[in-house]
Amino acid sequence: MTIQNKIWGLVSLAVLVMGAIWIALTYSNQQAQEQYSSILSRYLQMNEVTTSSQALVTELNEYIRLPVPAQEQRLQEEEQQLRGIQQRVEALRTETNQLDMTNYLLMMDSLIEASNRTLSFVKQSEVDAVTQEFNEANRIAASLEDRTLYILDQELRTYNGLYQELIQQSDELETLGLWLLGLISSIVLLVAYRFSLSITRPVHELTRAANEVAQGNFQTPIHISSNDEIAFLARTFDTMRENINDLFEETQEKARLENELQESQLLLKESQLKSLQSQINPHFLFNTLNTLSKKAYLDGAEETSDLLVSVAGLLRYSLKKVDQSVTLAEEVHVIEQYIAIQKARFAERLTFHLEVDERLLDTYIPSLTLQPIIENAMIHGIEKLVDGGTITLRIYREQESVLAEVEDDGPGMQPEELHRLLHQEVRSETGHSTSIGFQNVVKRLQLFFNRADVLTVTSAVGVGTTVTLHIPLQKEVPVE
Amino acid sequence: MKRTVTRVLSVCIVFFAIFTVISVWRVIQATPHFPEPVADSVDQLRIVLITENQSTDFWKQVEEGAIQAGEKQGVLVEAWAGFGTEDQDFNRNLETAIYSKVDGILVQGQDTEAFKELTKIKAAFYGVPIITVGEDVPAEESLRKTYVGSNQIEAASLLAETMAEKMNYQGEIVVVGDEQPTYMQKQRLQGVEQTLEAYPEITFTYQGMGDTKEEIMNATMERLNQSPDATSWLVLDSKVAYFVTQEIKRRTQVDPYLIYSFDEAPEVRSLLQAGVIDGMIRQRPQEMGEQGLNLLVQWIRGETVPLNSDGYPTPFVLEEAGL
Repeated sequence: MTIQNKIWGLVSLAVLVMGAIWIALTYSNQQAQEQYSSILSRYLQMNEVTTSSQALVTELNEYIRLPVPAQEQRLQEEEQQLRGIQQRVEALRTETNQLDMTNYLLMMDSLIEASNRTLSFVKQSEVDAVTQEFNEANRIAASLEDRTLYILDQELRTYNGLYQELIQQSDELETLGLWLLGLISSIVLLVAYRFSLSITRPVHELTRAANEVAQGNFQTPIHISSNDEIAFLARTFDTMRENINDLFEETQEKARLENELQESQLLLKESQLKSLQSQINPHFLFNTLNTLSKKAYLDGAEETSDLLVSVAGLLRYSLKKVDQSVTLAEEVHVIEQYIAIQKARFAERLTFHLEVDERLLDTYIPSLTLQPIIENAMIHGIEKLVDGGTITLRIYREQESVLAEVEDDGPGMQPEELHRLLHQEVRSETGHSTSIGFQNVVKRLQLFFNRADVLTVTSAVGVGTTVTLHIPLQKEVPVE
Repeated sequence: MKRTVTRVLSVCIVFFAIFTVISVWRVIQATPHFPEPVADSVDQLRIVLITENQSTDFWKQVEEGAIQAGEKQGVLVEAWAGFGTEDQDFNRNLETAIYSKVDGILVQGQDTEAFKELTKIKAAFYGVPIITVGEDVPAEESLRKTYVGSNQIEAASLLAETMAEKMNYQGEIVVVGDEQPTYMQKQRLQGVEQTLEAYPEITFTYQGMGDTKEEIMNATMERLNQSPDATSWLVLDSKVAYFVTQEIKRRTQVDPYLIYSFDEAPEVRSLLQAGVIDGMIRQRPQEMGEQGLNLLVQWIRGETVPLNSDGYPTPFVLEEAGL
């Protein structure tokens, strides 16, 4: 129910009740009034009987004295009047006065009859009879007067009690009115109180909910247990709370993400710094190596000097080119330097053959792809053999591919070993490598050429291992 | 707070509701009950009982009997009585009843000219039947339909017979009545006379008396002086019995006196109980009223026509002192 309906209901109820009471009181008042006036009219009508009967006798007397038609007319009128009164008095008969009233009515009849007899005797000019009948009429009128007094006395006796009862009833009505006033006041107060509660309670609830929202608690749902405008307001407010809550959460999420981003940026910067730091040392080392090479050359150790140059070159290459694509020529040059270093180590145990199709040296590949393979062959094919071994690097064209083949004649690999080589992550236990593992090479090649079949390995125990790189033939320099 | 307010108001509502209900009930109780108006035509018979003196116990019983019988018969009965002994009231009531064209009148017979004229001429003119009750008037003088009451001659005979026996059939009896004896007294006197004719040894004297106390006492004194030997007194009317015995008591010992009276009036009864009076005739007034009314109704309705003009006697008994 809406507040408007509630107000309407309350006011209508009050008006209705007041109206009903007013009608009831008016009705009972009118009733009492009628009762009073009916009693009074009884007395008045009975009094009229006496007056009228006396008047009839007077007119009769006048007629005896002066029997003219005009007087007879007056007599008739008087008689009619008495008849009229008689009829009205007839209605006053009740259970208690039935006998007296009937007697009374018939006495009027007797009077009129006596009057008529007198009249006819007058017309017949029978003087004695006229006197006798007139006396009779006179006596009847006197009797009527007596009877009127008697009946009035009886009526007074009867209606005295009724008067008392009427007065008592009106007193009782007054008392009833007071009690009723109290009752209705209480009921209206209670209804109004409940009604005001039903309006203010949702408002209070809403205020409390609004306070909570104002304090930042968007989680508690707003629930109003009424069904009016306030409830509608509350529902709208609840929707608003939900929206704010969603927005708030979204903002929080964004803030969190931004924070994370910032943190990761900081970390990145830090790592860049670290990498810079780590770059400083190799350069220092590289310069030092060059200096050492010159020193060795000046000191006459030319072989040492060359070795140092190779080491420095390899170092520079590895520092500089790891993210870039290079030509096969550069890659082959690095391998030559690497082999030179390894030769210094293995001397006669290492035999290296280089079979290169010069036309293919412009082919681009990721840097440091061949070197790890050579290194691998070195570790597995040469180090393990006391008599040393041979490593052959062939670069040739086959159909639309450039093949770079590294072959060793070492002990070969067991199939499990071969599988591990192809699928395992970069091994860390081997301290000899240049840190770039076989897998790394494969991944880089796959990414670079955007194809899966970039490398094949064939190995047989006791025969050796051959690793072949399949490089697609390129006409142009790939974009970096 | 909310609960307290609700509770207090609820208690108020209950409190006021209880008293309101009680008050409504009291208002309904206090509603005046107006006499119901009656329908136009009244076919109930209207009968009026007219007596001379309202305050007499005898007539009260007559009235009671008539009204009770009227209720049984379904007729309206009302008793009109004058106050005191004024004939005027009585006659006026009778006249009014006749003018009212009542269906029938039960009346205490009165041996007066006015009464006779009213009954004989006026009642006959208006066609109102009359039955005398308790006291009679001659039928030919009043045109009454009948008489209902004790047979006065027989009652007097019984009294006289009893007294004669007590007197051993000799001596003198003083009979006390009005100076102008009424028809009823005359009847009683007649009964006494008839009885005493058989006993020549007994003589009787009629002593008439006035209406007032002084007159009664003087007459009694005179009689006591004139007939000093007469110790037997027969009182025809109870209304003088008290003063007669008072006078005798004042003069001499009352014990040797033999006093008998008619009518059971309260003062006569106490005299009887005191042993002053030796006996009295007790009539049945209630039966008179009852029977009188029944006969009147029967006559009006044509059930018993004509009524026995000699009258319908009601029983009576002689009540004697010490019995």
